[in-house]
Amino acid sequence: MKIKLNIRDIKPMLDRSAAQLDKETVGKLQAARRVALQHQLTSQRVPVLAWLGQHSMVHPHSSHGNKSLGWGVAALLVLVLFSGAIYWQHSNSNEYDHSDIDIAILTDDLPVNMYVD
Amino acid sequence: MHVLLNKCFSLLILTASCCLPLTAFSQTWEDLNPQQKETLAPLSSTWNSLSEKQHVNFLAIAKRYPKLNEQQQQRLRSRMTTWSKLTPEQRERARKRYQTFSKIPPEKRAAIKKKLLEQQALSASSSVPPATPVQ
Repeated sequence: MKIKLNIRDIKPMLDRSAAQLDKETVGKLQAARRVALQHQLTSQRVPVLAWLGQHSMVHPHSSHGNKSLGWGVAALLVLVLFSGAIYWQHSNSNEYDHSDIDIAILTDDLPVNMYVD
Repeated sequence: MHVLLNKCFSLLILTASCCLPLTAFSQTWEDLNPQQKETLAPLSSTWNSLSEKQHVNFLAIAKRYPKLNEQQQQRLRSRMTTWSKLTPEQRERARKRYQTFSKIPPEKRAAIKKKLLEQQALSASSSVPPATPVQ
């Protein structure tokens, strides 16, 4: 026999079942709810980092996992920035430094205008 | 997550401060040391208006200036102002022409130089107004 339930019927059934739970279980459920709400609050404050935590391979509530993820992201960030700075400096120094050829032109037998005109 | 955010932020600041000296190319005339000032003296009045690229380039030239012989030093100082007043395109054109000219065999290059200098001397003398006869 099939019993059809709608959403309105489920709520009182859940309330009745919850009332039958022992105090210890109710306490654990309340504690879990508080942790979940706290986690949700933190996630709203830092959406990008929360996304990383939710999509990482480590458990999101594990402090060890968060530390590893933190160091990983930080190290990656530093590596990218440092590589960028080195590349930028190298390309700029190559682009700017024409001193070899400039000295050769400025000390040549021919005057500068011979090479410009 | 707050710990992670703080960690990233601290490292970001640290990295940025480490990279700052790399970006500090441009220097005012007052920032130059006495040797640089002496070498680049012909540019003293225009130095602060020169581009960052020119600063880098002239500072590199100043570093190598003491190794040049007296004639080269004299030529360089007398041509510095002219060089600084050229547009970047003109300087680039001059560099390319010099590089092309350097590939010509030395004997042929010397002959061309001699001819060009003679032509220049001729045009300079023809542009000078004739001297007024002394009465």
